[in-house]
Amino acid sequence: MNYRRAILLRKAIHFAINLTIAAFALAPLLWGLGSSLKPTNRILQVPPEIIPSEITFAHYYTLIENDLFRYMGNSAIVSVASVALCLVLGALAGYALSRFAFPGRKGVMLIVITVMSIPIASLLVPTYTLLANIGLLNSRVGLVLLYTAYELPIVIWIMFGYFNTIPRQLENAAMIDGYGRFEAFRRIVVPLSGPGLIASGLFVLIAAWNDFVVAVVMTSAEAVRTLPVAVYFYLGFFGREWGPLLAASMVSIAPIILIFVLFQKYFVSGVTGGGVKG
Amino acid sequence: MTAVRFSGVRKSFGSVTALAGLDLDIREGEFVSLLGPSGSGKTTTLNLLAGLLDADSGDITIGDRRVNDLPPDRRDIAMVFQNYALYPHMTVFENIAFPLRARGRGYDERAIRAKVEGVADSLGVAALLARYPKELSGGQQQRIALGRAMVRDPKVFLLDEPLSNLDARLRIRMRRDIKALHSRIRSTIVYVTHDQAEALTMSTRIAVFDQGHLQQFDTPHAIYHRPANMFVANFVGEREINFVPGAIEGRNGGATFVSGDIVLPLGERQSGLRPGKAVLGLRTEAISAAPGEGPGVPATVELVELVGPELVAYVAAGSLRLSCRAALESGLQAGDKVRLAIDPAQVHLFDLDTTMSLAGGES
Repeated sequence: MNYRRAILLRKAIHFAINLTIAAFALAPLLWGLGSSLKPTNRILQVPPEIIPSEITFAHYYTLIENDLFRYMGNSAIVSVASVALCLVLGALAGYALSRFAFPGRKGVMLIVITVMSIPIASLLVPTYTLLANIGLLNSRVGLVLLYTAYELPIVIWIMFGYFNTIPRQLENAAMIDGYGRFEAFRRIVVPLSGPGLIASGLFVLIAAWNDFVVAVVMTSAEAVRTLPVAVYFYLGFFGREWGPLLAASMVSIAPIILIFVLFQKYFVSGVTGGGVKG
Repeated sequence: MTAVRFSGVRKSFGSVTALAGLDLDIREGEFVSLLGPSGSGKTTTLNLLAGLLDADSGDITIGDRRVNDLPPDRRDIAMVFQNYALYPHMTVFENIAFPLRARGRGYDERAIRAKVEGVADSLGVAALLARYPKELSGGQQQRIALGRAMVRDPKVFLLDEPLSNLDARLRIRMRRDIKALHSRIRSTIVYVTHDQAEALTMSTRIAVFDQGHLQQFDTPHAIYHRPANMFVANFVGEREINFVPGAIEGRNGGATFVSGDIVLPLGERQSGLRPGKAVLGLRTEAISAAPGEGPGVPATVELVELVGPELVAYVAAGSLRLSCRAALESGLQAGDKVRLAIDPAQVHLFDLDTTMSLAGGES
């Protein structure tokens, strides 16, 4: 009996601690979501209402009238293109590093790891000059290339680790069954690498979708403006109008949260490796 | 006709020589086992033949084609792997159909279905076609792997220790099934194993490897009864062979092997041997132990094992430790005094220095 009570007590303590941490993490988000749905005059009310007593979508309409969909579209195009490019290049590079012993392999691995540790901010000036020289400032292509360059090392690293967990015998079997190396990779290795691809895809997606610093430096034209930059410009445009600002923030984080919730189980198994069992 | 030929094939991994100049001719329709302990070069040989490894030097031919520079998919071979290597994301049907779908094979869907179902029927796995590999037992996975190899008609089948993950009973049954399969399809099979019983029961010929060298390549009967050297004599056979160091002496006009209490007049075939140091090789079944006094070598029983129809006794004879057979009725127990009788027809003699066979065994 005592033993059971001790277990119950421990569970209760764990629950309370977790609840507190979750509340701290979620409070600003929930306040933001609630406030984006409140009429303007109730947003800064003290004490704040967590659950709004009166709901309005007026702030969201204001955003739509102010080109929200264009900025979202830009973000989506840039993010999806970066993810696609990173996955194709990263999977091929990771596979080569995992399977082939070529001269310079260790050097390549070292570079991949080193590059991951360089902060983006320190690369802004050289990459700005680079993009300016090749005429890709103010373009979505330029952003896609930069995001790919920044995120490719982590993708290579994750895919390298993931491919190492897939038995070589499966590819050997496929090659003996009449398929070339690339076909064996495409038909056997790639289908078995789902979690690894999803995990690295999420990394790139989050980085590209949320990026503000690179986008604000490399683009100035409204036509190619991405959502995080747009949120920043709304700040100047709407002044102290918290409603549309909070609505814009919610719109910018919602897709990522949704995708992350949907794919989180792959995210964990993809990063920690472990593809084929039994 | 030659199906597979290795001529002077060498392979090293760094400073380790895996294969030191292999010459091997496998005839069409043969079932050849590559037998040896781990690290002997047998799996390297198979992987070289499959194209999964590149030879450092020498020629490998399949049929009349030199295949050294051909990738695995163009060598027209099929392979069954030790852990089966079934594709986990495909059903049994798709696994077996996979080789048929490779580019340039030109099978339409109806032909693929007919072939897969035919193979599945012949292996008794027709009911499993819709399942995934993880839903199958080891024996079933084994059959699917065989089916995937059989579904097209390759020049050579390569089997890499395909039974080693199965339990003992199932292994013996699969041994029979594979042998029956070979006598039905009459294809050339190269079979890698470290299990001498598998090699002896299934093969038309056995290639015994040790430390990258081919030790002997002959029929199971010859490998067992006329081992070329001490390694083969010891590696092939249910139990370790008894080696008795001694000397050949000329006595009474014939050759006689002498070692302590053991004085063994040699038969006609060994009578020409010159006197000198030698090692006598005696399999367990070549020595029989019987209780009581009488002729034969005196010994003391240390341990007795029941092996079905008879007993195996481990005895001490002077400084020698020997394994020998004894009748079930003898009721031998540890500590009993026995006499050992050696069957001269089943003795092997080896050179002490070169370990090579001098002569011996039944012909």
